[in-house]
Amino acid sequence: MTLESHYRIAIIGAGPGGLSAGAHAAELGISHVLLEASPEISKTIRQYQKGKHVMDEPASIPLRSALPFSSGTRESVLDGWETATRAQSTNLVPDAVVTGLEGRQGEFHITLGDGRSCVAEHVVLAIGVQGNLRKLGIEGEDLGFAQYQLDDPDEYFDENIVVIGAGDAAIENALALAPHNNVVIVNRRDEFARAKQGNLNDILRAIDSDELECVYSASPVRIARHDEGGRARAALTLDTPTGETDFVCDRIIARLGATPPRQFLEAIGIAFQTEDANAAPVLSSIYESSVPGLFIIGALAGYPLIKQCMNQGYEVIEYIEGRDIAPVDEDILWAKLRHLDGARCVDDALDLVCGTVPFLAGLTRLQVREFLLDSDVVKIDTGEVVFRQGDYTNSLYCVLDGRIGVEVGNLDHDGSNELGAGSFFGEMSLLSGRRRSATVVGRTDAVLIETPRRTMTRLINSDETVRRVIDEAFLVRAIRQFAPGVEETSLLEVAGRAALERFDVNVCLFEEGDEGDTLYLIRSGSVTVSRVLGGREITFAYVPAGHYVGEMSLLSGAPRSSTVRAAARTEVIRFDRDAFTLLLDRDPGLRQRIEATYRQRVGEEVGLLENARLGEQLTFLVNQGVGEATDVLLIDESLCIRCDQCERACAGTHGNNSRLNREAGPSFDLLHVPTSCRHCEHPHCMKECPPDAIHRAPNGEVFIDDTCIGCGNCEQNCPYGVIQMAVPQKPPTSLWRSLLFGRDERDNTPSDPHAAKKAVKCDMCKDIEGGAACVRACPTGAAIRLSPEEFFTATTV
Amino acid sequence: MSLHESFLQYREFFYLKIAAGLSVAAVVAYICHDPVEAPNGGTWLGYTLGVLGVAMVAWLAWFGVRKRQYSSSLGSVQGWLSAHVYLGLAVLVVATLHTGFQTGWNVHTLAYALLVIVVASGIVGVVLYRLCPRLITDTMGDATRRDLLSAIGETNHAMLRLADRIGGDVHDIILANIDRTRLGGSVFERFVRFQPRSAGGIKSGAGVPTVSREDANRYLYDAMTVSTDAQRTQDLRALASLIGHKDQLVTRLNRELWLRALLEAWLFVHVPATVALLVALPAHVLAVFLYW
Repeated sequence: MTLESHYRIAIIGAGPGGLSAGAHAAELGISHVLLEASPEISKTIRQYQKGKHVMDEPASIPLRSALPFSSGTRESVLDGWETATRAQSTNLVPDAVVTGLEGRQGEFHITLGDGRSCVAEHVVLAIGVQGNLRKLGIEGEDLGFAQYQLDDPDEYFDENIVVIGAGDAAIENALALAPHNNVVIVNRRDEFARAKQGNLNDILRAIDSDELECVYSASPVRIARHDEGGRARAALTLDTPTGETDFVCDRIIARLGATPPRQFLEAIGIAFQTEDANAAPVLSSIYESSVPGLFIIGALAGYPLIKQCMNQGYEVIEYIEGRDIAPVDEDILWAKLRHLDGARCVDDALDLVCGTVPFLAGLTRLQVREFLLDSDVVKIDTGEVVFRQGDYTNSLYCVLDGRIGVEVGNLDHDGSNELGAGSFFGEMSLLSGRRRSATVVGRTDAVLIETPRRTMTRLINSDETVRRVIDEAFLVRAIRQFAPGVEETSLLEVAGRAALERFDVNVCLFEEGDEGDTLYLIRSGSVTVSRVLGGREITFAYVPAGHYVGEMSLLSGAPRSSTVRAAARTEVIRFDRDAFTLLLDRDPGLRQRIEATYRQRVGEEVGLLENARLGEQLTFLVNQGVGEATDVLLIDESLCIRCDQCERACAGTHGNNSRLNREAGPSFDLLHVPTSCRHCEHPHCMKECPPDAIHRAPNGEVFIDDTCIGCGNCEQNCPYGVIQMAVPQKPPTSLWRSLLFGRDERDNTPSDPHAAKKAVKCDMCKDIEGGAACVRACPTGAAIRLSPEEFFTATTV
Repeated sequence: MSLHESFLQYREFFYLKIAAGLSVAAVVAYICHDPVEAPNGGTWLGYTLGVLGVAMVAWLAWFGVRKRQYSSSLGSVQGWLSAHVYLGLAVLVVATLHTGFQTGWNVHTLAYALLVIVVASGIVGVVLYRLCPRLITDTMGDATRRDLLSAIGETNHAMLRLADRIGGDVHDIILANIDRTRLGGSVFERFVRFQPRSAGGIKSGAGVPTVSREDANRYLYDAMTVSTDAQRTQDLRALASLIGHKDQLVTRLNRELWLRALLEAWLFVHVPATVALLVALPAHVLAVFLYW
């Protein structure tokens, strides 16, 4: 297309947002131009790895664009856009690098790198951030050795390559280059904290197996030329904890992320929210920047998801044309919120929700909309049970209207209290990943917002205020359960003295012989209690979330009698001696209860320490990661006749794919832990599931529903290797048929040859009456399924 | 560890108690019963025991079907096996009393004999089920069959690489060793002994009969003693230890195969005899009613 002198709308950047805006302008017959710096559309997505699966998150929002888009391979997505862009006669001008932009609404002057220029009444900036990659900023970076992108890793062979960065891009590049090159990855910190779990597992495994080298806590200082045998190479100097070190290499690939091209934008007069390099520009609700007539959409505006960009492209054209269209999620939200008393429109309802639930008040409107899109508004009647103590659900509820009762019944005490509008509940299970610690009943008719675990976790991790509010509530309620005698007025005082602490797996909370002045209440994860006997550490107890450790030394004043170690990633609430004394003071019954537990533990300990073999078995099980499990398949090898009935039963009840491997997995002293799902408290597989297809059923089963897209993230994330990608197989020939006609040779063939592979894992036969098929089919009683608490009690009694 | 409960202990020997009660009741009835003629299948007690026996045999045979019904929620297979074992023993008592200790060369005694074979093989099965699993663990440790197979493969490669360096004669021996390594052996060999003929043995050259591993090692040791080359001596020593290592792997694998075969071997009597019994039993019943 040629460049004319005057347009109503100039769109800069032909990524998903710009293309969608261009397509909608073309559709409406508005005079427009779409300027793209590179020769082809959508440079960023074009640079994705070949065949990469492009997601269409967030699934709850519909697409609003003249262009097609659904999840698929990079190629199919680009193909769809190219075809549609041509068909709609979008006025796309490639190779148009914008170098100058000035003027005001009605008369923006745009200059291109090749000298061409045009005038536009409105400008839509959809340039993303990938055009402005963060540079090394060190001496010698212009010598030609440093690059900031990697298009095709297969182009490089037998080179010494240094990859700088600790994010997903750096890890993916390093891993792709490692098979054919000598790769060193440089990480400024001492861990890969920003990486996705799957990438993290892969890079750590690669480092462990020496496929590549990693330099931690190092930062680049300078690059110098290093001539060696007539070949120009780079000498990269790194500042490491042990001093400066030189690396001679052929290539330096720095993947340091991207930032908005702030200088360029500020020169035009665009204001930013904060001084932070990653800050988004100040925008109105119709995406208009501080320069009237100049609109910003997409990643540059702070919305990195493709579908969001495309919707904004459509909407921005509508706004420029003066039409005030409702946000795309308006109808969906209205369907959820219309029953709220006094809400006449979505905005009313949002006001009401934000005004009632304090932790939502600090969020932006867009965040609240996203929060509610994922949530459900639930009405309950007086006396209706929301969830029961012991259920395995983990959503969070906010009370919008009415009153609900929280009822706790356990060995220690019974109690109940009431919550009204504005309060929330369910955070205990959300945080600990364990069963509900109380039963919640409607005291009056009530309206609740139920928010799924994933949405809540995301919000807690991204918003400091929300995290603080939830943490505080957790603390107060945990103390109330631990010491119910403490009066409401003293709870906050005690909570103020308690601190939250996190421990990685295998890290000690305290060691045998330490001075004991702290009590730990376990909030998530679990710990093991062990003691060194005859030079070996023998585990003799397992303490899950909701219980406490460390009371023995606090009461007796003696040093720690044993070592307590995190059996999984664990969060604890820590009470020092003062806080503990305050607690004892405020709740007169507490001392008695703790002393009773203390006596019981001493008794158990004596029994267990006499049985070293048992202790070794427990140590083995904990080392197998059983600490974070909620249900483990354990095989007694002295009973197992290796008939594989368990596997056949699993296959026979699950599309002819066995989800367990009986033979694989470690054994100790006739106790075998086969490769089979443990239904972890905080399932690793649930992280990064794009369609959110992995759930926990009320009885604790972690299962994958039909919305699985087969991306393989869960398979990669599971540290126990119990998830496989598979297609449903034909059912095996029946016994009678095989007796009469022999086995069907087509056994073990897919029932649908075109079916895509999906993730399959153990669902503990939750849909089959009678429980897990593997256990029910075991003829000798060798296979059983247990929770850690069950086998730790079974072994102590 | 009190986590697991075997099929014999199932629910505190619940089915043992039932089976024992049934057997005792049958014996008491038999003793108290004083028919006009000698005790036999034709008295009222004989018929009662006969009907009971047929019902029990039919139910016991149904176990083969139930254990393949993976979705069935009708009890656990462990419970079924526990009942199968104890009631299977009881059926022998019931059937024996049913015969009134009368035998002859006829279809009736054939059915009884088949029942005895089925129960006897079943007892063997129970004994094997209690013995073999522990032995398999002792043999295999953490390793799987696949692990051992790949370890053997790797050792073969390592031996060949070494032998290549040493010389043609040794290479031939190692090649023969690899050729002649036998895993498992024939069905018969697997059932009767765990060490198949010539496993780990070495054929000392083309056309020369198989020699034992000891012979092969002696060959290597002889070569070692005459060797004046330090590297060659070292290689020969390494090779001898590799042969020993492989021999151990092969022995382990064969022992596992043998134990696993034992766990199934008794079924080759138990199941066909059951099928035969299921044919003989109706014949027996029919014969009784035809010749009343």
